[in-house]
Amino acid sequence: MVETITPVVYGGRLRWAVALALHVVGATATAALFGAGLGVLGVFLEAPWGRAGMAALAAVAVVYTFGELPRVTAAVPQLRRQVPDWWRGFFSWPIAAALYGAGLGIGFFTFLSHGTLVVVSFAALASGDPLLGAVVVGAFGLTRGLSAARAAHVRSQEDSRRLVDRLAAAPERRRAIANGAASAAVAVLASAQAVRAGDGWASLATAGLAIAFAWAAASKVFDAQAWRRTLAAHGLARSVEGAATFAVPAAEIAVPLLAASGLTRAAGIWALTLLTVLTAEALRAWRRFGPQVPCGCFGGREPVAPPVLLLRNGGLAVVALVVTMREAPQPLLSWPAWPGPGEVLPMALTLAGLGVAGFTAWTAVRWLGQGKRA
Amino acid sequence: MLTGALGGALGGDALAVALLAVLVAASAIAGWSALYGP
Repeated sequence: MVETITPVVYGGRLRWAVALALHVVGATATAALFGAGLGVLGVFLEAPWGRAGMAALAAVAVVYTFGELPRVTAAVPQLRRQVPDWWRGFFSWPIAAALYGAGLGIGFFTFLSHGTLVVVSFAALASGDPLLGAVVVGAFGLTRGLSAARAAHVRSQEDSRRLVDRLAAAPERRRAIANGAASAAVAVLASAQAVRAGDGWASLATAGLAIAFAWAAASKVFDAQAWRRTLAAHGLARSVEGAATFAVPAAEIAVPLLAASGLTRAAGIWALTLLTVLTAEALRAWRRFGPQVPCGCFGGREPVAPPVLLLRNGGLAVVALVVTMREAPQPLLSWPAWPGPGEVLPMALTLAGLGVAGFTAWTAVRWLGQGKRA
Repeated sequence: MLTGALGGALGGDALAVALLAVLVAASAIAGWSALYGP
């Protein structure tokens, strides 16, 4: 990606310096927004989770510390996308520079070789504080944007190619040590904080259950084709298969909605019911067609070994039981009341603003799509 | 707790300050390391 922000591309050092600044602003802004979004999501999930949250942060950090060791791999969630090359020709150079930065700011959409961003993002979520999330994750965007300054001495296409080759060939060891040390330091300090903090296990269990079922529903909605293929492999009656296509994700999304409405007992009982029904169906399909039948639970297309699925669903059932038995929290979602006499105009303006924003977003997506095909 | 980190930084809670600083540093390291990816 560094070859997109070089003095060669921008036709001179002054323009390049401006482009680099815009690139840094774009990357920092999207990373900070992403971090703030995680903080807001944390608020909806009752974060901070006290001792439980700090213990979970320490656990995530330990996983990615060990992931930096030679011959050890810890999976890093990422979409492995590259920023589109056509932006450079389609947009004016200042917009392209800022867009390239913005495209890199949310690291999970691109390539990630280290899991440190997972640790940091989990911390932003666990903080339940949008400002803190923005500060912590924003640092990722800032340095990712600034790292394009490595291209300062590029004077020709050949220089650019050589820089890319040099970066690709740079030894991994030093970066692994730096990332491993950073994750280890987070693990140590989060453990120390966990000792000082109190409880939070019920809130963390509710958050975990809500995230698991929201993830399961989202994976089916966003990759509907894979979900339909999974259902087809189960050999259900046509009418049942048709109903399950929509009913299963709808039933799954009810778990986080119930939890966010403060109905934790209902969320836990509903989750237990779903786990029972879906596990029974997976076992039936395995008995009939063999263990190669995919469960499609979280969007994965690979078959899951029966003992692994039983263990995972058993673990989720324990979490659901904890959620069922906990004291109900304050609801974060509630049915809105009718607006009072003085609230009609603000409500109308808000709805109009949302409509305009939605239309603008839709137009922008269509426009960007046309640019891509051009 | 982590939410106390910003408040802790202002109030002089050393552990909260240290955790916040380490998280920012870790984030910065992750950002710089991403340069070496495709």
